[in-house]
Amino acid sequence: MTERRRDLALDLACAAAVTVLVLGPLLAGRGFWLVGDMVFVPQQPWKAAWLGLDGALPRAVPMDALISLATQVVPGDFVQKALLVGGFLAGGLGVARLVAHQASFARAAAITLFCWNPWVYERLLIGQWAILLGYFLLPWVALAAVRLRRGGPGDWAPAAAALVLSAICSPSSGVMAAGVLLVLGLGRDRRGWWRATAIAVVANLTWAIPALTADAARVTTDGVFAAFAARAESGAGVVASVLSLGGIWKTSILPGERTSALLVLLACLLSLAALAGLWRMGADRSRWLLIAGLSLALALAPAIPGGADLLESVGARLPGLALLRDSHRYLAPFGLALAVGIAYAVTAVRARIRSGTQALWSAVALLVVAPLLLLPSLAWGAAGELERSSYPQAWTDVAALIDADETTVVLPWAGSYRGFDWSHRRAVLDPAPRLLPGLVLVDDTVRLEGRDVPAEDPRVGAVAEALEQDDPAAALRDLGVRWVLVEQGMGEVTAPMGKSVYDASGLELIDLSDPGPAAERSRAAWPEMTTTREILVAIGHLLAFLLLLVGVAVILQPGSNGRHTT
Amino acid sequence: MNTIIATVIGALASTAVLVGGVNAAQGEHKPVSNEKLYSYSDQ
Repeated sequence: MTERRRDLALDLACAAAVTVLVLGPLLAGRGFWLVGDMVFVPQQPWKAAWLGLDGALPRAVPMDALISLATQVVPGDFVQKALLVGGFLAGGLGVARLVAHQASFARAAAITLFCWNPWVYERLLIGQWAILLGYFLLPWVALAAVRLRRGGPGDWAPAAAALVLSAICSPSSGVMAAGVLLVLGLGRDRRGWWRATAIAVVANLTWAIPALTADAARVTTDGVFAAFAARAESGAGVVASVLSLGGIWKTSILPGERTSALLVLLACLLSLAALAGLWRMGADRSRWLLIAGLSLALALAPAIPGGADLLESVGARLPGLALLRDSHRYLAPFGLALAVGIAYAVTAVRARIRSGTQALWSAVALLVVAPLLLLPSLAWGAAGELERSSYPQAWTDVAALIDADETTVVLPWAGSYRGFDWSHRRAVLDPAPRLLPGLVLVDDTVRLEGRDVPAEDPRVGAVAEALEQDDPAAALRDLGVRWVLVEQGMGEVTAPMGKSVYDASGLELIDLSDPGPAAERSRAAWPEMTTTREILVAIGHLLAFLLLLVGVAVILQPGSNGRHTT
Repeated sequence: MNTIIATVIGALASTAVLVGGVNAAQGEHKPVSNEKLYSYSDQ
């Protein structure tokens, strides 16, 4: 076995161990992890909305399209397992490759810190699996950026592939990847600037064009920056939380150890050790410190006095700034920088081991396992917090009754999160829009403490008005709604009058078309795609897909050095 | 020198294990109440 293969085997073993330790309960059998925004369904029917072709604000475009295609072939729970396992393994191997010239224990320290930290825990527990995948792609973006700066045949291909995959994960992942590419990839060659910029723009077209052309949607920045600002998890304060990669706004998901000021401060020590390691890294030190600094500043911006107000006032004129809401997610590049830095820190400690200081080996070992000791709750499905769930047969039965050209309204009309008994009453995004065919409307009003952020989809507003009419069934019929799905067990629901065609296992499906046929849609309420918009969105997807295809083809080309990125 | 290093590293590790373990063990699954279910509340 060559040294290179042996290193790869060691890195793979380390990444696999971390993966199994985190995802073990999910991998132990059939079923889904359903929590927060993490919604997978057994089979996700194909809809134009998955590509942003319905005129509404894109949510998970084009990730939903890929998931839909995958679940036509493989059951959804396997798709979820494959994506999460693949993400952890790709992240671990990627960050190890970024520090490939370091010793195995230094690479192991990078893997554990990158894959096992409060940011990963908090994003997993809030269910933002796609943003987590974008995070795990960041090391590959960094490798591609270095490759791009060095130049040579096919130097752009890894950057193209990594950027498109990141943009597919989520808009914020695409933006973060572009930032990392530009900071690490730009050299003195002006041609490189243009190429990096072009790759960043084209890769992000896949979500940017649907977002820019969805003018029927309303984006609100009113109050969201303060509501989603990073928080202090413990008495150590918000800066200590963020410096140790924690500080998410949703404090209800915090593990017990993050509420301990002592542990948060110990985690800060680990971050400081990593930053000291970055300082010692040499050539690219300033670029990595810039990434760390920008990432930290973005995450803290809404939390500093006046920061949220400033963002809100700018956001009122520039709705795209809503992308910065929940700015804590922009800590992802900081996590990557710390992982790279800790490898250099471990190497520096190792260099000081000589006769009389052999005990420093314990410091090396501690730096490798410190992320696990500081956050034991991430182990084994967040210490049992994440349990597998399976959909009752009723969901498949209801899906079979609805046609792809019909519209369904889901009740209760009170936000888009549900707590099903079969899913351990854990709050999860309503699965109906992904599981049922046709247009499925759920109240997506964001309910914050003391105030609501209105729904961004105008169709939701129209349904809300219809439900308040004296005859909601007739009003919904006027909007073209055929079905009402009542999800029972979550409070009182006053359902519109109609024919109940299914009632079992907590689901009731009401047919509003009885006695008359559903009316044509109200054109004023429903966003419609013009041909021009459809063409623009299609061009965006096509360009990004082509960039990915050509990039991968160049990387795989015999004799290409696109793969040799270190 | 080895004694000092071992003491410091041992103290840091045992503190992390003890405090982390105790806090993690106190964690419990909290089913979401109907009142809070639809809210982005931080509680």
